[in-house]
Amino acid sequence: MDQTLQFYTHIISIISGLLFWVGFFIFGIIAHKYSKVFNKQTFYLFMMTAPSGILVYSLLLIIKISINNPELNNVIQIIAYISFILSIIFTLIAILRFNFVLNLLLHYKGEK
Amino acid sequence: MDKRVLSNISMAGMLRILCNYKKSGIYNIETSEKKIQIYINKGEIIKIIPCEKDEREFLIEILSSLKNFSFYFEEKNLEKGLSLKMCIEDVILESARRIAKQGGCELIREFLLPENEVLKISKFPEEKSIYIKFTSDEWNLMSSFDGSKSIENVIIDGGYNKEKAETILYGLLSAGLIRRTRFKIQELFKIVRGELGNIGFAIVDAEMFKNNIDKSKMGMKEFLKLLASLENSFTEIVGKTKAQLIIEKIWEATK
Amino acid sequence: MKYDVVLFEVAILLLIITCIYCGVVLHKLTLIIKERSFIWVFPVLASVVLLFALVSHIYASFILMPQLNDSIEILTSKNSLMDEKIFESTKLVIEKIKMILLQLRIFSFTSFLIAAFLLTFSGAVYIQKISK
Repeated sequence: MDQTLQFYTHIISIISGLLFWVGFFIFGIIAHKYSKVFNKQTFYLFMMTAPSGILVYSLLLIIKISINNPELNNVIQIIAYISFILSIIFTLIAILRFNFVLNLLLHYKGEK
Repeated sequence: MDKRVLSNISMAGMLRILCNYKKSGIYNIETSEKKIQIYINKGEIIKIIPCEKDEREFLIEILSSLKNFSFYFEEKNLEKGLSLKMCIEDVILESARRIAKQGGCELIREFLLPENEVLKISKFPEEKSIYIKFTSDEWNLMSSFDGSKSIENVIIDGGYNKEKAETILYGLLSAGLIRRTRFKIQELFKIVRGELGNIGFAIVDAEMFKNNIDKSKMGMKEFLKLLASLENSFTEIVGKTKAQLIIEKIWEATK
Repeated sequence: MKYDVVLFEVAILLLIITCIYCGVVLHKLTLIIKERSFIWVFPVLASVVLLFALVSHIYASFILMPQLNDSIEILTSKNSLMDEKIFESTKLVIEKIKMILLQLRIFSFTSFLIAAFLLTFSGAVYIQKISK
């Protein structure tokens, strides 16, 4: 039972990591369109690549459980959390930038 | 004689075209009372029959007449004659002033362009010289048309009395001093703003900047290039179907 | 101080804020294409789901884990080893806490999955709308 639930959480963490990446990747595609049309920096590349850190986090946690080496576990855990938080920070920066660009465009009145 | 019927061109406008295109022949003007013949040789007025007074004054009187008339042109080679050295544009402007004084604004309305037309000052060919007297209103109204404003915009922004502005406009148009821009750019902006809001406006500006297009000097080539770029940009933002609809609307309204 | 746990919770909080902003962005995007759509609600819902996951993680890390550690200490103490009743009851408590922790872990991961799905779904619907 425990092993089944453990396996379930592993699968779920990978799928959710992948889905988050895909979700933000889609937002990155939309931001890229605006970047292309208006020639404005939207940090779309950040949005497309940074969320991979969520997937890295999931994978590292699985590796940590599989290896079961206490010394290595701490290192892996720290790397996983840093990767997770950095990816979220860059993704947030990108989405804030895109939001800023959208605000500018929605209030555009012809000034250059 | 080859007869063709033209609508929406005034007697004055027709005379100006004949002079500017250096035609030779007899310009006939008929009212219920009399028939007047203006002899034109290679764009220069050489004779007016019958003419009881100063030719320039007589021509102004004819062009500012509020009576019913018809006019037609007989193209033919004429004997070389002495030019009356009239600046036809000046004559037409003066006739417009007389029409305004007589309260003939209703009659000239059919010769005016729709209010959403965008106008600009005409260019003249190199060898042409003109001597015109302008009033301040005439000059100011003419100089307001920079190729990006519609008739409505100019009248409202300039605070002109509509009837007075229409008479001045009639004179300027008939004299060929201002003309329509090829494309109604204002309509383009109106449509994109209506469809996409301020972002539509931003897209048009961005595409004009990217393609290095000056909206006051846009020819057919630049306009088609702009439309193609706009369609691509609109497709990115709102999808292909809606983009095509917007472009069709723009094409219908601005051509 | 469990720095790694705090780091994780800060990351989840930032992810919640990111999801909220994704909703804001989607709302503006739907305004641009002039389509009355509620797809912007999905990323906001995702942030709500993530908030539940965050709360459960905080509860697990700062309440349950210390309780578990305390129970393990009791279990391995002299008193417990000497007294069977204390040993058994402590063992039960530990099992209960472990079960709750496992459930919270599953809940947390499932919440992540739901949040990820909601975010991806909203983005996909928007892309589908502008691809027509």
